[in-house]
Amino acid sequence: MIYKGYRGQIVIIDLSIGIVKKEPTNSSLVENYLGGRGWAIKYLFDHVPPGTEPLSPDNVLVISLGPLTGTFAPSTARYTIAAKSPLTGGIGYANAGGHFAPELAYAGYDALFIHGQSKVPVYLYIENDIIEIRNAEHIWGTDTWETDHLLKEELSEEFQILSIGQAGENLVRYAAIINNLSRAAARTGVGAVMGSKNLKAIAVRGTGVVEIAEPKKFHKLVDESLEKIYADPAYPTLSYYGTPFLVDLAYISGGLATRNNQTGIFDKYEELSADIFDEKYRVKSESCFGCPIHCGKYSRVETGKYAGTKGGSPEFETIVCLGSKCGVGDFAAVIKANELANRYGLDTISLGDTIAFAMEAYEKGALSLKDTEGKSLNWGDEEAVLELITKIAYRNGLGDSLAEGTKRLSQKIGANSDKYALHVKGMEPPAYDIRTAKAFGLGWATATRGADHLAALPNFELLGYEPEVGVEWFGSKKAVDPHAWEGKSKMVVWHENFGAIVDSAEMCKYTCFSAYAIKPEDMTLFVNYVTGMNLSPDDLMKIGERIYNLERLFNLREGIGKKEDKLPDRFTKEPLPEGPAKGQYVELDKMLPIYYELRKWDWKTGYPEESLLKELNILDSAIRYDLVKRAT
Amino acid sequence: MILLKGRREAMKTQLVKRIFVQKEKCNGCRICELRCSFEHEQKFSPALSRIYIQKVEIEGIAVPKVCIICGKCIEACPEKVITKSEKTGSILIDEENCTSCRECVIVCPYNVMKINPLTNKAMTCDLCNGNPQCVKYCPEAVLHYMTSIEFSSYRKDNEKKRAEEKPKVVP
Repeated sequence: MIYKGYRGQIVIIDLSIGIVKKEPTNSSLVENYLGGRGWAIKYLFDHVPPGTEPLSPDNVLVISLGPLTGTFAPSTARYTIAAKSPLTGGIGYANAGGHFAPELAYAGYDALFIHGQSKVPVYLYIENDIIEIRNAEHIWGTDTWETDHLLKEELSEEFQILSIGQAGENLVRYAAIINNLSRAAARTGVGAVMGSKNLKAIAVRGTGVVEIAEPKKFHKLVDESLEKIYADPAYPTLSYYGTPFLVDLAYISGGLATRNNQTGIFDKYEELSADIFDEKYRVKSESCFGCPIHCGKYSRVETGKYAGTKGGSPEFETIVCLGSKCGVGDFAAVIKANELANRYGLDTISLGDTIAFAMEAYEKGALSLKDTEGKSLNWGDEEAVLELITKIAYRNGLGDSLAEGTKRLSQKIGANSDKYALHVKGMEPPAYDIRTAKAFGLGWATATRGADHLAALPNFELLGYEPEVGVEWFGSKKAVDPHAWEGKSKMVVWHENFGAIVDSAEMCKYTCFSAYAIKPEDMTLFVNYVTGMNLSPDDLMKIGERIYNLERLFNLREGIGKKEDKLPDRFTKEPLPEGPAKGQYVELDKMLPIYYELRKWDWKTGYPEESLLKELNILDSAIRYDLVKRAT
Repeated sequence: MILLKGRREAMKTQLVKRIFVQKEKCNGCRICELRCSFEHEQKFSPALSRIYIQKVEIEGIAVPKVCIICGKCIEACPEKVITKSEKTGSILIDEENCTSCRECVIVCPYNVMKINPLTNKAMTCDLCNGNPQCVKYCPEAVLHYMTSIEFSSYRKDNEKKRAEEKPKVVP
């Protein structure tokens, strides 16, 4: 391997025939796709043929690290887990922090590509040079916390473990993969893919080193970046309260998604506020590896019926999706729901959303007591929510239908429930109500994995910048106004392209997008000083654009294209009924054409222009599957 | 016996700085491990770090473990190659004459004497020659390079200050 930073080896595993093969990391893969999410899409595009059933042995589970993994570049403990999504049928990927990724780096690996399907439950044992596929029948059926405990007892406390819980084993379409008990690679159902392969866990221990090209320059660059991170006005708040403070921000803006997004004002908001979290439940911070922000919190319920519940804090997304979206205004119940989701291995966003959808279906009569086994599903019924979580993980009764996700549940029950079945491309939406933040709205519609706040994460519109900054960055004064649609198309394209780089370098998006402490210029230096490459910021952004367009081609190949770049009517046709954002809806029809033009995608077909594909050096990939809008 | 007496004498005469830990503040980020390994080897590896975080994740517990200069390794070393640095008071290992016999590793009560996997010699905290990088970069101010008297008064003030000064929920 000519580049430093990378560990230099990838591992290809075929569980069907029990073979583990190590190969040197390919330099051209590094130069064209950087790492993490970039490598994932390149591998999946080349190895998962169109039409592959996501839960069949032909799907591939990719676990990939970035060039910065294992260094002290801020917030780089992250890794990508990707596969064709059982939820959307398109590209699926998830990203998590914790302490797993650096351990895999110190063991000497850049990525794992897992093919096939084992006949019996297995786990992957990795200790430096040794990689073994080991029997896991004794831990199959246990939750992720029990698995973590049992494997550490069997191996040693020094191992880092990621695993699926019962939800992944039972192929819940939004099952998550969990490491360090509460760090979830959750979205798009990657846990179900792992379950379909009969792969229960991966245990890794590494004692090797990560070397970099320019230690002195790197040291100085990190010092400068830390200064910027610590100077962010939001830093004290985020590092102390963690993401729960966003509940308060969402409420103030009128976008605290409530009762399946029927409104943005929750009457029991105070019960879910950061103050309540801090006073009653927050114990201390719990950080990912090498992160100066440490937004994770450890929490514990000391009294009441949920006393004894503990673990990594519920994040903002979880508090909203399992709280206000279901009408639940009891923080302790949300902590309990979060604990269950982490233990069973479930994506709290899709989980909460699917339950909220079922509650609205019950409210509107599309689900009757007969469908719910005689149990009412009223807004705010926390016991019903908790009971459903367990039923979903085990696919019991009504839980079996909810385990399919909102889109399929709506198709099953019919009765015009598609009007309020909230999903994009089959994936359920995150917490923040996009009617109060239009760039986020566009980002949900265009994200390759479905309703996704992280593909773009255009925080820019929320930070209260002066209008001139909006002109400077995205060509419109109104870019700084979250309610305006102007300038947002350019904003989303930029964020999506840079976001693909952040996910491929495997830095945390909070570090890059919460105060823009790390811009493309800075990221270029990080990558160059670590690897010894000589990239320019433009080169880097080009890699980001390449990754985004290859994901687009993956989706197009599966028939997911322009007509899927849309939002549920609730966000485009039903204005928010009350609060500071009353009357707001997402003007997707105004933003999307400009977005397509900036992307050089054909407005009629949604296909990328041939000239663009040529420029990005992915024309061959497109031609192979007839995915080119030819210039006429 | 003579050795013990010598140690007592040293403690009486000098008040040295060492690393103190406010373990209740530790979030387990392990930046200290990364800084330590980089400072000494210009490479990244917790296996090369002289400080480490012991965790019980399920209970939210993280405790930094670092040399407190108790001197047990000095007594245990059969080659007498472990002494104290005159400049900083840290444990000082004469690597050239270390035979890697592990006696110091076995006797260390905090598991912070290790064999360096690259050099195969004993290694422990050397206080970075008076500028400990783990202390400098700890994001929660868990680690302090102070004398015992300084630390005791810092701790009292800090606990009071932390209780009074909470960040605003809305920045």
